[in-house]
Amino acid sequence: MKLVYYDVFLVLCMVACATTTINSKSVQFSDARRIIPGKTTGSELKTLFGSPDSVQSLEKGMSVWEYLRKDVPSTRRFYVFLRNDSKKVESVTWNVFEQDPESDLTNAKIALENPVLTGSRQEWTNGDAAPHETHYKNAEKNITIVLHEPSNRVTEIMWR
Amino acid sequence: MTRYAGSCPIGLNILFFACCSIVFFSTINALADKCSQGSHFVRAHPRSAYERADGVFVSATHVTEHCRENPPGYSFWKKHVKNLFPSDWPRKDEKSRKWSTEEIERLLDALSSLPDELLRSKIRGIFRMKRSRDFPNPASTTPGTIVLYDDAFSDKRNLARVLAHELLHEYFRGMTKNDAESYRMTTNWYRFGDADGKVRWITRGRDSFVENDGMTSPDEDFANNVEYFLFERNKLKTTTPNAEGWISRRFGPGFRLRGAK
Repeated sequence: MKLVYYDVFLVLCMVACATTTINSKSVQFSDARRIIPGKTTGSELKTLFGSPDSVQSLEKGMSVWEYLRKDVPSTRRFYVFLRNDSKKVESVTWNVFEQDPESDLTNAKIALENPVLTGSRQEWTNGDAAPHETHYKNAEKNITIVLHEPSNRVTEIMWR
Repeated sequence: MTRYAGSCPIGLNILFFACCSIVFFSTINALADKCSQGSHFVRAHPRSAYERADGVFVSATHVTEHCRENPPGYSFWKKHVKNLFPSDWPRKDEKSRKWSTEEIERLLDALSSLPDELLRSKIRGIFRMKRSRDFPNPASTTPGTIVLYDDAFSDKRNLARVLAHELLHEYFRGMTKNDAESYRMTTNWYRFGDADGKVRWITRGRDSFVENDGMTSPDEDFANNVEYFLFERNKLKTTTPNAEGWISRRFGPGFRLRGAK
């Protein structure tokens, strides 16, 4: 009987460890690019990256699933917008950090297989502070790269 | 026959004005020289009523020339007060204005009341302009440049508060990606690529903003929230408690206006 308990305990441990492994592994940009908006579903996201660290409900029938960085507290690695009705991904936002190779614009383009991009300076949203970003887009592939001008680094890559 | 001053020989007139100027400026210089180290000379000037950083109203008066003790940060900020039109200013239709003695004194006073964390920014110049394109906007900023418009000196404005807000834009621009992302996550900001190719922000409900324009971007939201933390903390606590908590953790217990309890 003791052996049975021991086996059950071992199985539970393995399940717990497997879940932890998915959640804590360092997700790379190439991993996130496996998410295909309009096709990937919420359950497929869970298979790929585990359960999200946080889920928020948004307006217009959408919710956002947040996956956190494990090395820096209160910081998102990426987040995914899902339609509540179809349960499918609408859009993905990948946060690029200083140490990521994609923080360099050239590397970011290479990681996206060198799409043709059109850059446009962000417009003033109010008179109080000047915009300090350039958005590089490829309308056909629905890709946007956000470049932070003061640091000349890429801060976000979005696709939908 | 009326004799006009203009009928004097030109040479005499020039000599007269030159003598007057020498006497005038040497008197001022003599006074300025009398100012001890750590103080500066202030010319006589009319002063309008205004609100001090701590909210106290100061009445209008005529200030006589005097030596004034330098406020904290004086030597640093004095050289950042610029009269020309900033070369990289994007709003070419706006017009520059020369700083008056009164305005410089108020500016240096206001800056001296702000906590050190805000003053460690990469500001290259504080410029003076007439009227904002977005009147009654009191001030505006581009990376490294702050512009103060006429409205910043109105008696309805707290200049220290206006400056704090603009310096906070600069502070936010200089934050690391990790720190900026931590703020955005705590205060529920999401970047979203729209179907029409536009990048927009999705955020929390209108009721949780201390100012409506905070909804335009995390940058504006941050500047508003830290400004309120310094000047109207209770409103921030009630309206956006998670922002108040984040600011408190980031800046620590000593983060307040100089002289405030």
